[in-house]
Amino acid sequence: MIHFDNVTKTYANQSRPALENVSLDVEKGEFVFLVGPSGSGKSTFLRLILREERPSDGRIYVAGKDLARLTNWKVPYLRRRIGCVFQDFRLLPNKSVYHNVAFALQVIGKPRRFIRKVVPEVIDLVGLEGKHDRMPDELSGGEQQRVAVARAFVNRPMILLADEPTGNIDPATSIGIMKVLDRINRTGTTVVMATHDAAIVDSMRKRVIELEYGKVVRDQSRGVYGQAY
Amino acid sequence: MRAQFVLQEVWTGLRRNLTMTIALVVVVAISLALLGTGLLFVKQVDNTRTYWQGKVQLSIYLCTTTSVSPQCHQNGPATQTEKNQIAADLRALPQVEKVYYESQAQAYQHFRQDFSRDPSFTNLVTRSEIPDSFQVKLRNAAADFNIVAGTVQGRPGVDQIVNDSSILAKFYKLLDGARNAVVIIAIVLIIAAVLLVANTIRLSAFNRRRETAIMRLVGASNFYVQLPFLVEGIITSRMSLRPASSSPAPR
Repeated sequence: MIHFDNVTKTYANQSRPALENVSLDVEKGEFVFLVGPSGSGKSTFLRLILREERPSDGRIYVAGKDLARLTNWKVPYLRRRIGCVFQDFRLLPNKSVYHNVAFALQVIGKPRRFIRKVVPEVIDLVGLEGKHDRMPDELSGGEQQRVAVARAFVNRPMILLADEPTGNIDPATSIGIMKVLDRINRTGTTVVMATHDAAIVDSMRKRVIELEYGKVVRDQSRGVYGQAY
Repeated sequence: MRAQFVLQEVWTGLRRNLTMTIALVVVVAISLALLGTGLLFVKQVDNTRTYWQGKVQLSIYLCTTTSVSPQCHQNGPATQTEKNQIAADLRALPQVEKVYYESQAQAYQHFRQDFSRDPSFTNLVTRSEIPDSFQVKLRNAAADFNIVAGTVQGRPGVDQIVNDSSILAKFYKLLDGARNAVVIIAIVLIIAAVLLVANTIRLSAFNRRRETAIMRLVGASNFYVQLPFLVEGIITSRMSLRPASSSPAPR
């Protein structure tokens, strides 16, 4: 599903590469934790998958596509197959829960009938039954993140990227979010989650990829967060 | 493509930016209207100039029985021989293109026509009070006036010599001034309008930055991301075009 072949990314004006000679595979339906200290290259890794950045060297394949050969106007179609969740939710404050989720489908031109059918299903899936008409500022942090997950998943992407989705949420609520992500993973969606949350990584027992100074220093299935931090 | 959704987004965008949109519409409308007025003015001034250029450029008024100037008093009204002599001398000058005689009857007729709206005035003036004249068309009005005027100046029978272009010069100056003022104001306003347009787009982009970021993230095509800006721009410019094109203009 995601294939990195000897990928190096060096940002302009920086001598040390953000990612260096990274080669790895993520299979369809896998759940992967991406761990490592700040600045270790986790976000760069996710941005490369989204093709927000291009690698300085090496090749990246996402969903069978060679990103280097993808023309700019085709990038939106790649992103329709990738859902994204962030630490800061990124909801539209002037739209209700329902419209925040529907927005993701409206802007890619889905028919209204389809939206009316799919959006309530996804809102139920993330556990926000009966809160369709709430505005984001009426929701708790955990609930807002559920809306963000619903928005990321509503188009049934093949890959869900999560960049520290529990970073702004207390541990108890985080477990709820992880359950939602796990549920999404069970539908066959590949989930890649960058995180600093050791308790979550340890409790989930999924594949763990650890980055340090842009290099993969550990890649184990059913791993834990590690001792160093 | 879902038109209703796009229009809704545009509507929210315009409403959120309402003051800026109004300012933009007003400034663009005024500057376009002024520019149009200026261009029409330029055309009109040129037209006026060529119109008057083709007209008589020198009028030599002759003494009549009622003339009051001292030289007419001295010599009495112009006799037919004097008139013939003047006409012949004028025609002999190389600077003169054409000379024709306007009799008192013709002059009176013109006078009545020119002041036809004011019969109380035309009734006061009798035919004998309107002088006859030679209307001289020069080849080059500005350069040759003094030469031509000098040959007949002070002759018996000649009352006054009037240079039409000296009367028109003031008029031209006024027209040119008005035209320049209109064009300068229009240019200043257009610069302001361009800056305002740039600012409005920037503000609109800033207002929509969340929407735009999410649209890109969920894979909206570039066209879809740019469409609301495009439609907003079209609506605003249409709104300014209407008052600009229907505003009163000369002609």
